[in-house]
Amino acid sequence: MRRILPTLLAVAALAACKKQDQGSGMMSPNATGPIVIGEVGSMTGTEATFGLSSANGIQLAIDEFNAKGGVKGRQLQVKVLDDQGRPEEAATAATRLIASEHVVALLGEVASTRSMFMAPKAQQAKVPMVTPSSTNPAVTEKGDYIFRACFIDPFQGYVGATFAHDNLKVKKVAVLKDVRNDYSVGLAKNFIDAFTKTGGQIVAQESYSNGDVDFKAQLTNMKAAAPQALYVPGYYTDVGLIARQAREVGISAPLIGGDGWDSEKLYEIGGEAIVGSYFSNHYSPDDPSPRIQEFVGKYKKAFGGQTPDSLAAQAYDAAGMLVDAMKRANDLTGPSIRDALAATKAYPGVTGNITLDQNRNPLKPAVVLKVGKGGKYEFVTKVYPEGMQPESGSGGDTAAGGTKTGGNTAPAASPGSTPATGTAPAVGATSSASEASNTGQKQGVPSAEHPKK
Amino acid sequence: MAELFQHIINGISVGAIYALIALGYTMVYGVLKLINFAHGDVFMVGAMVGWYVARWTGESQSPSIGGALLIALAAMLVCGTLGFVIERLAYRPLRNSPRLNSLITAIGVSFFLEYGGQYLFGPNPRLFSVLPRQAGLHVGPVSLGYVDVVTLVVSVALMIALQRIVYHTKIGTAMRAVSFNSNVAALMGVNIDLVISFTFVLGSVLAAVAGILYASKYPTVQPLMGLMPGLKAFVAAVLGGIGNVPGAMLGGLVLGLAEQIVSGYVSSTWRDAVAFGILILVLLVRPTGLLGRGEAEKV
Amino acid sequence: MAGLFGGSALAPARRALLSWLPFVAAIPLLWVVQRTLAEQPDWEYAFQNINHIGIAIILAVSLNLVNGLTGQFSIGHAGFMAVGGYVSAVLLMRGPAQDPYRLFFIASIAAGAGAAALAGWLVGKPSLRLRGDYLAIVTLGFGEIIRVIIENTPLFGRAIGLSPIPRYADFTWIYTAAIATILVSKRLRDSTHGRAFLSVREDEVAAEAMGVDTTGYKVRAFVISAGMAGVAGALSGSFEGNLSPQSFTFVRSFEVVAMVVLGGMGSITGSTIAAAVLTLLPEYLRAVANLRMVIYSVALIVLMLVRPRGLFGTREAWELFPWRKRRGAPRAVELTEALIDVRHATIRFGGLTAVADFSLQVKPRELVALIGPNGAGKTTVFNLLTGVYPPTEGVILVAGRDTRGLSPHDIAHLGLARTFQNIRLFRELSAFDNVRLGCHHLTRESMGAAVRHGQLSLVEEEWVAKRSDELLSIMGLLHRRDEIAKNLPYGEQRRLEIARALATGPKALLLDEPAAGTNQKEKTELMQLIRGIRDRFGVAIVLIEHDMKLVMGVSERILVLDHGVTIAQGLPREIQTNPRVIEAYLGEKYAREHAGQIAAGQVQP
Repeated sequence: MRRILPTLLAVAALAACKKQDQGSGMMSPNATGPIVIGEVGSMTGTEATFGLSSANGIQLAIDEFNAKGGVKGRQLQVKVLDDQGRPEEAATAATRLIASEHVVALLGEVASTRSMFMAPKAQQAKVPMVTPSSTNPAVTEKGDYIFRACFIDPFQGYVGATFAHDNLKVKKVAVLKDVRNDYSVGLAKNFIDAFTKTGGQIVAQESYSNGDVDFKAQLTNMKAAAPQALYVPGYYTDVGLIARQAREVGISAPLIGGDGWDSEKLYEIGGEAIVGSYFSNHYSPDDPSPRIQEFVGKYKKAFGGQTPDSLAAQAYDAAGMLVDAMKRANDLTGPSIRDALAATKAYPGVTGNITLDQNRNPLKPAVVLKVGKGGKYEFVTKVYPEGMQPESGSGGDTAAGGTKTGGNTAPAASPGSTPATGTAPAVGATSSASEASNTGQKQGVPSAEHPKK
Repeated sequence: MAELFQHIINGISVGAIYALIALGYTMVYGVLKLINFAHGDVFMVGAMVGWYVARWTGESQSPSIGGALLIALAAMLVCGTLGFVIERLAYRPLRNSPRLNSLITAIGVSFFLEYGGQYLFGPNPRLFSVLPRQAGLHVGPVSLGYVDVVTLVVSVALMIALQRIVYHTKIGTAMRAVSFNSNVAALMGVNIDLVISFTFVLGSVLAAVAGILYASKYPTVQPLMGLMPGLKAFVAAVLGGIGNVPGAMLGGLVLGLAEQIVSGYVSSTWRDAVAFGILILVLLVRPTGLLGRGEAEKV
Repeated sequence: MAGLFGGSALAPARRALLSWLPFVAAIPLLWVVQRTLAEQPDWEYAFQNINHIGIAIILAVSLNLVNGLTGQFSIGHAGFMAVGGYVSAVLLMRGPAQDPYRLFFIASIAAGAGAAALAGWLVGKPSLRLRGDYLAIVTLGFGEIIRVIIENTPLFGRAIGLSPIPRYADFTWIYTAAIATILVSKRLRDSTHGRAFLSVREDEVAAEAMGVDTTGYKVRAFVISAGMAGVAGALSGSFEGNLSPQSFTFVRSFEVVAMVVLGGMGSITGSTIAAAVLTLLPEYLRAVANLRMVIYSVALIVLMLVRPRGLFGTREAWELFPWRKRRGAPRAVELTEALIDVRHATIRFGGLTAVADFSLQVKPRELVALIGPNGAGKTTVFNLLTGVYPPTEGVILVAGRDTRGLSPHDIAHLGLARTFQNIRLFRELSAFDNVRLGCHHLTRESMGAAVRHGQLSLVEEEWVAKRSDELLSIMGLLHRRDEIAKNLPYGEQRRLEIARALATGPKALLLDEPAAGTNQKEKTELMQLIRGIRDRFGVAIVLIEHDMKLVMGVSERILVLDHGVTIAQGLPREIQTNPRVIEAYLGEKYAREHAGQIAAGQVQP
């Protein structure tokens, strides 16, 4: 007993002096002073560009809103915490922002796994959370306080599959996925489902772990299956290396990927090996639409000439969407903001108009980009989910009515041909709309059913 | 069948690098009975130095053999010094303390290098470009990259050089004497401090070269790149018989092969388990390793 | 009513109550803190830290059992935490949605702890015969393998992890577990089992010779420590609400090792405080975010350099783990039968034959000396007798039993004790503790009894203490009782070693050069001591010595070895005049000097 008591006392003493400062965010709707929004991102770690780009996008948006007078007469402030790329850290950071800093809302995270660790904390505390770029459907399933500003992977997988089938006209694809994150695993599955539905064949499936540098073994096996394309839905750090080693092993087929590729580092690491490969993304900075170009200009000016990648654009939109909701909300309590967010309709984001469905996911188009010479991204096509009209003024895409592929390289969707892939990519649950319409591409959530489980 | 050969080639190629790192571990363990956990991070520093110098001299834009040699020398210099400094500051004071303390310190040094590197260098991987880009060899369906050829040649050359040093020079004999019994060696007039410092420098120099080769093969560098290769090289050293120089080389090759075979035929997610599985197997079945000699404790 | 809890009838109840009191008193206290503070939103972040500290305490104190107390390098602790965490999380996630009395929660924690303990057994059993650094690497390897297995198992959520886990664990739960861990550790440490653990740390060879089943104790420490880590894992998972395999890398294991070392190996208080400090340090240094880990690592290095013994060194009394002994009492021996019976024992090391065709019978109460030049194989004979080496040929019987296949601690249990040529005391322990360890193998209390201060445990503790004091007194060391063994003067160290050997209650005592390094006066005292020991304790004594005066003065029979071969055996007078012995060992000078005395039939030099 004698030994335990001092220990208990010591711990109690430590506890007493550990009480942190109160955050400056005010919970009371009638208070004055800045409104604090929390942001969780991976500023360090292997996917640091995700966090850094997102932070830039958010900052740009917040600065703009502040210049226009803020929200309800108060300025906005963002408190950023680094989760080092680790899921538990994301959860801890979320708790800290909620409990100590008293943020009114959370922005983050980019990676689906980290978002999924954060979400329960936000949900439990009734703090609305908007993820700018997490595409795994399970994230918003965590609760009704969780929102997202980007499309979800059933759609993205569908885009990749359709592109492979219709544009590249390949029938045999090998898939290499990262087992260490939900995004890659989910997207790979969505792609496989969609691609096999088009009649294509998955000739090989291999996996790796985020952070690996040696993919020779997997690539050697894949080469033996003679694929016509490789689907690699991973993060840019790994994809660059994978591309190199694929070429070293003797695979010359193009790679296809998802929005996890989007980073200037992709070409830096992948070099010549990645040129000629394709990936689906949220937006293209070359899109001549005035809204996008204006954003690109502002971003370049604010951040030393850097071109905003889709992470930055998504984050910009997520922040914008949130602030827009805060403006519409009755007050700045969690439930009010949440309700306003849920009612978001046609918010004019640079990545597309954002209208949230009942699962709090937006219906948005995707673009397919090609990595061109010198790493410059070339726009290939824009793909719309079913039932969505392309916005006027946005160029580079083709006619309304949900035809599949846009401009340049789209031999597949010749009018009159009914693409066999008109079904929803999601879990067997196909809505009647998808069956009826044979030219629609599906988001995956056209109706009440939610695709991913 | 062709894949099997490819896997074997891949395995030998990475195994040679493990061997180079393992040599450092095994020599230091031999003289100090210390597992220098920071060794993998010295390897990382070697690669980092290579990256910085390459940028500075423009090598990264237009790689050449001469430039590569220069960079390798620079890396060797820096790492040799680093190894010396670490030993002097962090390990020597603890030579008479319980071994666990040295282990902790080694880990502290390792963290210091890793996170210091993250702070200075940033956590993002950077592209590494030192060796000229040449086409590799393609023998039928099997390909051997240019870097792999260079790796093999350099590794073998260095290992031969090391053998000569350890078995045919005065200081090498001194190293071996200290590894058998440092007290007696001291009594015989061997300058223990000098020998230990020399061992560290030698091991670090090898690690530097391994770093350059590794970074050329998987052409990214980032501050945590030394973690896994370091551990695996250690396993290789144990596999071959810790304290045994040819053993480290053999262990590196065997480990590299095993990893590639498992990655290829089972799944790459089990790759790390291979290294540790081998480790455990060796230590339980044959603790002295493949080539090691037994050490009986005198009662 | 003789006092509220007085009276012998109520003594067991009182004892039980006292033993549980601290634990029972703490829980309501914790609950009060929980209600008043922990559930305030303002305090949520602070309590997040406090709870992290609680988990760290459980991890550090449990690891201290293995690394600190038993001196084994284990750096795979995170693996056991992972096993406990995942097993309990999987159960919790599949359990009933409502668990108002938290019964299922408790069951899941128990399952996690059990699984972790099992993992500890699976890892420990094969690994713990390895020494030092090798053990460290193997445990690191196992920790990593556990992580890889988790990353590849769909049930455990693979590389992505498990979420959401029902969040039942809170301050009360965590600190109840932490207090329990500390209490159990402390009680074990203070009992004879704790001394056994410490002896393993101090000197395994000596511990074995004193009857401690070293491998058995290492495994036990491992299993218990792993089980506690499993509890920590289960609580952590339920507190955070999620588990991810990246949390259980060897970096995590190292952090716990650092806590144990920083706190002082073997010190529970130290481990606890170090756990708190090292958990908070990164949080406080968050402000200097990017440099946080750099500063942390520098701090670690500096601490190791400046204060390598850690905060508390080894300060804290014994910590022991009682354990039910499964062997019988030492067997009584007939006076006429040979205590030690060696028949044609030979041992070869590689190409070298150290001892050839050695035979010896030692009867109870005999005083036999083994002499010969250096390298003759004398100590090797001792090692053969005590089971350190098995003979290549021949049979060795101790107390009538064939010792083939027996380990040194079994042979010690048969009644053979020894001292060592190079003194193998438990250097960091007090004289008192050294001798008390000698009594260990005679105790029968279980670890459970020690933890709950059961009747047997208290009685045995008293008996051990009394006996040890007696032995110290007989050896003239009582005034040195609490002195650390390594601080004793050389002669006293030798006597202490003998005291420790006697504490094991041997029937035969093997003394390896007890007079080495002593002066003339001391030698004379030693001679008297040896005879006194034989007379008082009734033990047979086998002596290795170079001092002929001592040998001749004490022995009843002498055996002479040269290059592993027995060249003579007989009465002292016969040996003195044996020409082969003179040639090989005694020397002409000795023969000349003592010729007169020998001729006169005096055996004295």
